[in-house]
Amino acid sequence: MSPAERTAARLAELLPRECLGRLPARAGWPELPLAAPRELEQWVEVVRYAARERLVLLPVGQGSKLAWRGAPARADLAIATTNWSGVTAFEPGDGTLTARAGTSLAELAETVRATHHLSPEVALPAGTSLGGTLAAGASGLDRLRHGPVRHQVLGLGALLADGSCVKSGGRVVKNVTGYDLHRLWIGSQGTLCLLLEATLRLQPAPASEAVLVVPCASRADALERARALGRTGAQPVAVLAHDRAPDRTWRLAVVLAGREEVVAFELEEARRVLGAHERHEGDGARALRAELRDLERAGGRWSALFLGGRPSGLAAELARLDELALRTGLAFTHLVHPLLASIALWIEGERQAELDAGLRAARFQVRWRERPAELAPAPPPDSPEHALARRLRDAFDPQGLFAPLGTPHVGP
Amino acid sequence: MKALAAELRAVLGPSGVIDEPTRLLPYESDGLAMLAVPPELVCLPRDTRETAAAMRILHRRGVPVVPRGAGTGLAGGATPVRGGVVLSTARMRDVLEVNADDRYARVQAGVVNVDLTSLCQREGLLYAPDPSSQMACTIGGNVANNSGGPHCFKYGATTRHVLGLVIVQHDGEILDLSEPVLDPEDLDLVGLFVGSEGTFGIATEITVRLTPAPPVVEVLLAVFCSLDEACDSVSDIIAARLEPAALEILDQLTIDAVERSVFAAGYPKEAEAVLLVELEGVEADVAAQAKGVLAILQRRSALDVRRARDPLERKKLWAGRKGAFGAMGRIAPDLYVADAVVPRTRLRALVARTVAICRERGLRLATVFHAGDGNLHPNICYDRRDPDEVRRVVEAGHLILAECVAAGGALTGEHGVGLEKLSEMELYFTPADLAAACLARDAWDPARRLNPGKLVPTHACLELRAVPRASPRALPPGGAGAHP
Repeated sequence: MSPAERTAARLAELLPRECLGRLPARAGWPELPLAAPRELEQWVEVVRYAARERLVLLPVGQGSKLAWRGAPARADLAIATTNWSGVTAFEPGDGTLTARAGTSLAELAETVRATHHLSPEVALPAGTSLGGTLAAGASGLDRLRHGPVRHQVLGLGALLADGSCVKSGGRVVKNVTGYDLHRLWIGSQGTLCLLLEATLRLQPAPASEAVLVVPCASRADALERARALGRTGAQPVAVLAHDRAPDRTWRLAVVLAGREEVVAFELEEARRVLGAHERHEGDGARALRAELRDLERAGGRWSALFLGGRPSGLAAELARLDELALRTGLAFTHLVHPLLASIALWIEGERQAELDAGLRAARFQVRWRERPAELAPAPPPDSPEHALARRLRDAFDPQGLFAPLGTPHVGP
Repeated sequence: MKALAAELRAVLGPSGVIDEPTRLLPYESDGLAMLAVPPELVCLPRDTRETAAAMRILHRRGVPVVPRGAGTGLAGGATPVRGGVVLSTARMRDVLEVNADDRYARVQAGVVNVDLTSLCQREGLLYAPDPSSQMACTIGGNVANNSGGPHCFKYGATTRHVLGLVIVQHDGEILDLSEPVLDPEDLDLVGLFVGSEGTFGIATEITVRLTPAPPVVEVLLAVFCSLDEACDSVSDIIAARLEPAALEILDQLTIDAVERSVFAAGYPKEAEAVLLVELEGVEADVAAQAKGVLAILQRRSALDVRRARDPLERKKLWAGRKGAFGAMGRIAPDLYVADAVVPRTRLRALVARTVAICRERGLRLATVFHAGDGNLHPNICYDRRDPDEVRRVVEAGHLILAECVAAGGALTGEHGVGLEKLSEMELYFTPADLAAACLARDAWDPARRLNPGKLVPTHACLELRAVPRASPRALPPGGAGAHP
């Protein structure tokens, strides 16, 4: 019996058949036995079993962002939240909601729609779980208005490597009781704990919304118009510049939403500074907003990597990417948040290795989203920041129960 | 200590170390004056480099360190520890950069909150967190406590506004996380650090997000003949998804104290409660929101609603609110300032419970609070010279916190845990929760020399080492020590 078969057999003793499965093999990943507990006791049992047997546990949520963490050097058992979903508390009068980690973002949105609230607006909400979103720290379309997704979390329940269930934060909108461990756990990619439950602060649903699409002569033109809008009193939900449409021309998309009077004011400001544009309202605006939300995974692929910086330095960063493209013959498409200075980048063809080398040489600080398995991950830089991150990982997972990241930062 | 003082003077200069007993007196407590412990020594570095040099010396000698901002905290977070050194940021007062284009500022930790806001005004920007003590409290202290303030209802507490930090660690190593980052891709070390109450390291430089100042601001003052109706108005405004910038309630005793003080704001003395509502944004929206708020206030039987006619009147109304704690020195020799949070749907019930708990114990209660966030500040008047009254205050404080936690609330909304709420931490957290907190603490500061005995109950860490701590609490678990 192979180790994987032994693990599967032991799992079958711990869990009912409907909680068992297999994580299919994929590039760089072997097929793994998979546990999908439906009771808290089962979660604890699986973690204790894995710890006892010194197995390496790979948290997969519902699998939508597995590529982000990359293939770890070793994993013996996957654990999923597919049987662990549902809203456990909803307080519309308080604007808060608590849900289990496996609840899809689409279900959350549907739940809160009835009371005119909004939950975090991330790409492909139907196939995305709350726990996976938080573990990946995956902020969505609304982060210009509402901040990164971690700002919308009031508290978390988690399962630690020693099998203890713990909480951080709470269910009220203001709270400084104890450390904000939830800020540490969000974005930790399942390397510190398993996220079981989260309480969110909801946002009021807008009374009015509009999406503006501005055809631009060039990337510089798109960025300049975005900056001009940023200098007005408008506070859009999102401003995106991209060349992801089939004709590869640059467009600027602006999502406005809020109280009627606010949107009316912002439309007027937009008219003043953006020049000619298409304006979509009502159902058309909602459909287009959903398309923009999902642009991050257009064509079924996450961007290859993600860069961040300062708004004032954005043009220079993009110019450096142009130089790299010219030097190497690589072709990129971009999704840029000009007012947040983030750039998501897709590469045409299978030339990731060249891009990786080029980025290293040009000293970019980037993170791969879909990094090919054959590319060896760069060792983490030797810095006080990384030393502290290591100490925190060692503290929360001294035995190495949770699979380590396969894709550390690329950079100098 | 003499040798230590000499060694520290060599790196901090003669003005960088205080060891004369009379000059140490101001440092023996923060706003929780009941827990005074004379420090052995106070260090006053001027920048990150000096802080790191001092911390290396203190690390080598194994000396406990208590970080201190302006000392305005109300939970004993800056109470010295015996055998320890207080490290004050009072000489780190430089604004290092204001970047209006990218909307951030970099400041030294000792910059006073209101000074940063004033400086940004000329750029049409503001620093949103505005604790009531903003005239004195420092940005570094705000980071340590994840401070709030009235406008956190709209803008969120300090943690939402901190983009980067420079931190001197327990051994003097410098952690430079100063680059403004909204959404870090790896572990959120900055987010974890904010609110750690000086137990993780010393923040010496802080990068904060600046927010565009609103074009129009309007303040309404609603007058009520019952505190219940004021609370219900707030719950209704939130349920209606209106979006004011601040919602603050003051009760009758607080109104009386304010109106008899230099902060007199023109609040009607006959009112049982007043509700301050601030609306901001574009003109048409402020007008529309005011209409919605007025309809709710009317339905909730407000006796009168006044609109501030000009910025001066607006400022006066806010001065009354922000000066309320100071004004209470007129009505009692001592004040226990509690700080708890409740779900906003339970405001009326929980406020009524705090009133009943104090009444049952013959205590006078003045309530002023951030109603929009459900952040209660029951202020219990007492005289520390009366041991029985002190006992009743301690009991009432504990009961109020227990009721708030039982209702789904939290122990503290903005003051922090410090020493004040150590014993109540076990009301809110399980032993496993607290053990998890200790994991984080030990990763930052393995010897637990930084602000020892604060925030996390030491025994919760299953800790066998002796950790120096302040003298045990014998007096109220709070208290501004507001001697007039």
